[in-house]
Amino acid sequence: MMMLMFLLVWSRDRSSWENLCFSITVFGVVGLMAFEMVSMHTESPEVYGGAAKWTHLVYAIGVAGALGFVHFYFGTSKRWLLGLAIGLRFLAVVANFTTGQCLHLKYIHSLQKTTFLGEQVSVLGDWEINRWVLLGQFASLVQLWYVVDASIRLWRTGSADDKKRAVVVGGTLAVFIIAASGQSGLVAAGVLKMPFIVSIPFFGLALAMCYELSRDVLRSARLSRELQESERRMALAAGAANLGIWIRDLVKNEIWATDQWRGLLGFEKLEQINFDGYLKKVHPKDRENLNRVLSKAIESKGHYETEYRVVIPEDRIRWIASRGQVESNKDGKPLLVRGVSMDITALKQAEEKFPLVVEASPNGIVLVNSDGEIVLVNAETEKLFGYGREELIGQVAEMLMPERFRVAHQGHRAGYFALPAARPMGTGMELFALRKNGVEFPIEIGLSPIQTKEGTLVLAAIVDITARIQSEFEIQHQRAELAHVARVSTMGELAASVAHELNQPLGAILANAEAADLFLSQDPPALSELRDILADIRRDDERASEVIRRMRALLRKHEMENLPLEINSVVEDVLQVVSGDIALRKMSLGVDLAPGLPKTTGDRIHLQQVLLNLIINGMDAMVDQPRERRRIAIRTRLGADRMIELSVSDLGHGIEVGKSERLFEPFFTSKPNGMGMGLSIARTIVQAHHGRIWAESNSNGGATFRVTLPVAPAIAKL
Amino acid sequence: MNSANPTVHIVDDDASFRNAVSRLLRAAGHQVQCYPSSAEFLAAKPGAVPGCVLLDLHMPGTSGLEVQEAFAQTENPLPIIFLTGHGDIPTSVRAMREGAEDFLTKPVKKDALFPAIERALARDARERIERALRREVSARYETLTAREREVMALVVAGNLNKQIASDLGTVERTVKAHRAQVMEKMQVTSVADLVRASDILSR
Repeated sequence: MMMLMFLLVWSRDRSSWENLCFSITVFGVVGLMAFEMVSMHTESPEVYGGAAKWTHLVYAIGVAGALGFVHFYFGTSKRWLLGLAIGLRFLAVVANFTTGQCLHLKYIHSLQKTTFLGEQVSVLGDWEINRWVLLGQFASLVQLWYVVDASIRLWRTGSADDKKRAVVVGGTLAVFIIAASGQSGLVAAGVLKMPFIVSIPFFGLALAMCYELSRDVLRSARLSRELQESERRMALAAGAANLGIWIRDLVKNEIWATDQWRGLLGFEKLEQINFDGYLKKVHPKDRENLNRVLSKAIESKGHYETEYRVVIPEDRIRWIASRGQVESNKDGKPLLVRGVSMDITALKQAEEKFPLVVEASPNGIVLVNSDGEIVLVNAETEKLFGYGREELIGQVAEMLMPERFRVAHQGHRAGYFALPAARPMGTGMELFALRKNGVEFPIEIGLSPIQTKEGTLVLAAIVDITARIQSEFEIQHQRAELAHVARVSTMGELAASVAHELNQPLGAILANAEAADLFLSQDPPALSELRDILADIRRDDERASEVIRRMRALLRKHEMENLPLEINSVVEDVLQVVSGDIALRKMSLGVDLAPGLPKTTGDRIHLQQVLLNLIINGMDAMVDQPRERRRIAIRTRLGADRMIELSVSDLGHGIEVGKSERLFEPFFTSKPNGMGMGLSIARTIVQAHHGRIWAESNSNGGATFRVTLPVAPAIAKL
Repeated sequence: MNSANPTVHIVDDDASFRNAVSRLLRAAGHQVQCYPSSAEFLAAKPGAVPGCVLLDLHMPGTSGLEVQEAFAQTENPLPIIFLTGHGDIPTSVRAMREGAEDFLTKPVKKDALFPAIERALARDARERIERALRREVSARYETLTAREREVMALVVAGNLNKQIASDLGTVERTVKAHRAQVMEKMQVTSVADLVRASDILSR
């Protein structure tokens, strides 16, 4: 039954050779069973011998079928090895028919009865072994080699499913070959007293092959179900995307198409469509081009993409994008074109507006292709660069930049086309453009990739930032100027302590000099005193110079620097300047500097100014306080958010509720003679350092001003 | 060190300045004593021997004016010359009103410093004599009875015995006896000397 079934499968699909092979194997099994049954139940040695002879023939057929199955089913076997294995097997059959009773037996003298599986059967009684049996055993060995080799190859190269196949079919076949040749060999040699039962392992092999083939049948059924499902989904997706799908039969000159396509082109639902009818719908101006594209595709049996217009009622135009693939038969004759079409009218209208938008843009716009050639410029670009557009189109974009950037830019351009994305150009770099008259000007450029029929283009939007840089520079300058004014006025407030600090060493110097005068006039002059005096004078002179240097540093006009600095050293500098004033005003000072703080970046002088301002404010706030409450506390620490924090606390009159932000406004002051600029400038300075400054009221009265500054980024050591 | 020699006390928190001025004064032949703070100066009871003080106006802790105030309460306050790096008028006026000998700004020249010191030392010597005299006269005055003090006051005021007797409601003979007692206890021989002693007491 099985044999017939798979024979039927093969007859319907001639290419499924494994089905034929399986049928042959089953034929072998059935034949083998029949002849083994005959030999088991005969009384005559002649009949036994005859049956044995035919057994070898069907065995050879069955083996050939199984080996062929392996060949077609695995697809990995060696063809020559297959030939050798089958050839040897049939050579053994020839020997079987030409020598002795059969391949195994030369003469059978008698049979005897024995019990096998509970049944009385005939087995060999007295016989002579045929030497040609060795040929049969050798043939089995080659078969085994072939099967194992093919299985191993499949195992190595195949999928998980193939591996399973290699084990089930290859393994069973190998076991069968060993069992069959072993059992028959041992029986013929007289070691085993039992009938030849090669058919039993052979049957097992047939079952294994059947199992594999049935799985294939089931799998293909499932595949076909899935295919139907995916076709349905495809139709749904095409409908949703408003894609029209069509097939043009070149032989019958018919076009089959989905309803969407008919809708796009303006055909009725059931209308018969041929190519001429289709062309009539196309805009007369596009017909020729479309025809040419299609003919070329059919001629080359290739793929095409095109766009064309169709005229729909009320003389409106619809843009269609279409792509198709020509399919031909085995002889290379084009049979049909299969493809999809979609409505791109909206896209086309946008494209038509594009040049208008570009032209009207207040920025300079330059469109560049992947070769770096300028494709399009707008009026603003002409104005910016001083070139007419006819001078720019087709030129390399690098002509618009100063010489020194050109080579590097070519590399950047290639990199951009490899990974196009909308972004500003040269982030963090200062960009310059070159005008026709050779003048450079600073610019900012935004880049956007644009996909077009001509490939990817890059749209560069260019802004001249000369004016902006100028005003930024002026703001910066004014800020520095204002900060300087504030510093000078702050230093004015410190005049008393500054005088004290300077007069101290100057007084010492004068006294020393006059003492030296007196010592010199003594007889004998006190030379050791003079030496001490000179050393002291030098030291005091350095001290005075140091005071002056610090004052000058603070009073110097200067633009902001941006260098790594330690906040604690800023505090120490300021304390040196202000300590005299603190003593003079009978304030006490608490300093708590966290050791080992990371550095921040910024301008030492400006930060000193901020701190100086906070300390003086704190002292001013405590003027009316009793002496034990005139205490100012300066603290540094590393905040939880990795910001360096500097705080100045006082025990003064504190901050009025709701005024803590107004403090930082210009001209806001609580002092009778205050200008109201100090904190406003302090905030400007701190913000320029990417930090924050704010005020808080203390629970014990008074106010705390806090400044936070970011930690300097780690700089790799060179 | 001869304790009878006047000593110049220098009080300044700035060691460098202290040493330099000390050196200058020593070169000029003065005894010098230095103090880094007003507290140490006051603790040393410097008034025991003659001298004067060079006091820095601005010091951490007790300021110069406060030292002056505290020092004035002692038995033998020495004349004070203030030194300051930066003098302002209100402070100097206050210092002078409180009896400072001088108010000098740093840097100070010896031509200004030395005369000031000489003046201060001379004043100290003078004040010491006056203080000694006053102490002696007051000690004598302490021995007078209440009636004798009344009589002395009226004599010094220039009253005749008769007027005094009438004022006190007694007889002239009794007044005469009191008057002799007063002259003896006060160790004076003339009314003019008694007037001078009364003058010393009233200072």
